[in-house]
Amino acid sequence: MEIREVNLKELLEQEDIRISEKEINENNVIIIPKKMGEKDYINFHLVSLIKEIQVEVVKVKIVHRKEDYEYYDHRGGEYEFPLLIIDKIVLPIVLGLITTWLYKQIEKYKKELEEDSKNPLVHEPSIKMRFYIKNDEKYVEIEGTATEAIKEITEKIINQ
Amino acid sequence: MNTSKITRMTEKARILVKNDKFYDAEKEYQKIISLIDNEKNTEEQKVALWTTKAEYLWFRASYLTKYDTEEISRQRAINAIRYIYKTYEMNEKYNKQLKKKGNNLVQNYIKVYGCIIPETETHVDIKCPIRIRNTGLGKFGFSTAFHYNKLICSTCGKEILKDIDCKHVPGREYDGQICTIIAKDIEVDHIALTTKPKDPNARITFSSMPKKEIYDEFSEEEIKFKQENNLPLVCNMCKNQNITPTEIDMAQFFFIQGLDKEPNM
Repeated sequence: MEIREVNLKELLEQEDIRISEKEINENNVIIIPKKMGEKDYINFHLVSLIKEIQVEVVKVKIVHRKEDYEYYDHRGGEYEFPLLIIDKIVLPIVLGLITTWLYKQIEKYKKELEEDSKNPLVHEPSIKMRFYIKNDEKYVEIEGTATEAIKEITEKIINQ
Repeated sequence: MNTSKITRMTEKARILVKNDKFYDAEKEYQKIISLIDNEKNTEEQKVALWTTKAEYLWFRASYLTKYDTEEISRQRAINAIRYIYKTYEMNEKYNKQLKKKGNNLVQNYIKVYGCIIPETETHVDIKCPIRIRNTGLGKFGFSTAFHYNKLICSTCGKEILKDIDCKHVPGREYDGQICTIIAKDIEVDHIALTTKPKDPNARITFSSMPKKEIYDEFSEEEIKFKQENNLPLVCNMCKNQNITPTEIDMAQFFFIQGLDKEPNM
């Protein structure tokens, strides 16, 4: 896990994202899809989670680089999250939804392991997650298994 | 059929085997089988015949006369498993009774004889999950990558993320219906062999290898001997690496070796 202080404008520039300050302030969560080649993509398997954030948090905006974004379903056992710019006020809700989603993936993995413990292809899902806590100007990067991601989120962010 | 007489004779045969009186045991088993063979009309009589034949053949697999070869011993053991499987398949009652016994026989067989690797004219067919897992093939699974242009909410028909009027979360229930995602404009990007497929069951379960690759591991004399005596190619991985093949059940035992399930002895 990596936590560092970053200026949001610089981060958005690095990400090649154009968004007004008004929009940044108005939205509690800004979702920036992953850039793959010429297009922006959101992992298909994260759509339910993102929809949950949209429904529970209300002020959510997906900002993309080109005119539109699409969905990809690659790398089955690896989940790369879009970059999330999160207002501190909704941080507990968003992280709560993410950890619940992660627990579901762990449950699924345990079930697969129970059904076929000898199958070397049963792996705990790998997670790549990036988010920015607006008010603290903190940029967080998490990479590891779903269990490790939950541990990092709980110990280093929620309990801080 | 005099059941108590058959039971007594079977017990006697077992004692003879236990006391290493193989010749007498052989004669006793032959007597029992010919007795039951005359009356095999009911389900019970058939079961008695098949299980006795299985017991006899299993015993005969380990008791070799000077005329018996290792291949004959193997065929007897296979047929013992076939008779147990035939009984196991009969109905639910025997299914429950014989599942464990049959699978134990399979494990013992594999540890003693190894498994036959089926051969075609040009290839050998590896279907054993243990062998596949313990060679490089088992480390990879298939993963198909897609791109989707549109994802539609099954509850309201709107674009699930792009239309903010859609307030439905996939997986949740609305008016008695579970909301799901309907993918449109699907494009297959690629199919990959990967160590982390989404579905761990999308894996290699069968490998057909050119015979030459396998035969290169043997000397010319060994190949000649195999061909002249019509011997099968045998995998001894479980035997050599002391693997207990618990995951191989009776049905898989026949499948991986390309064996007929019907007894022929």
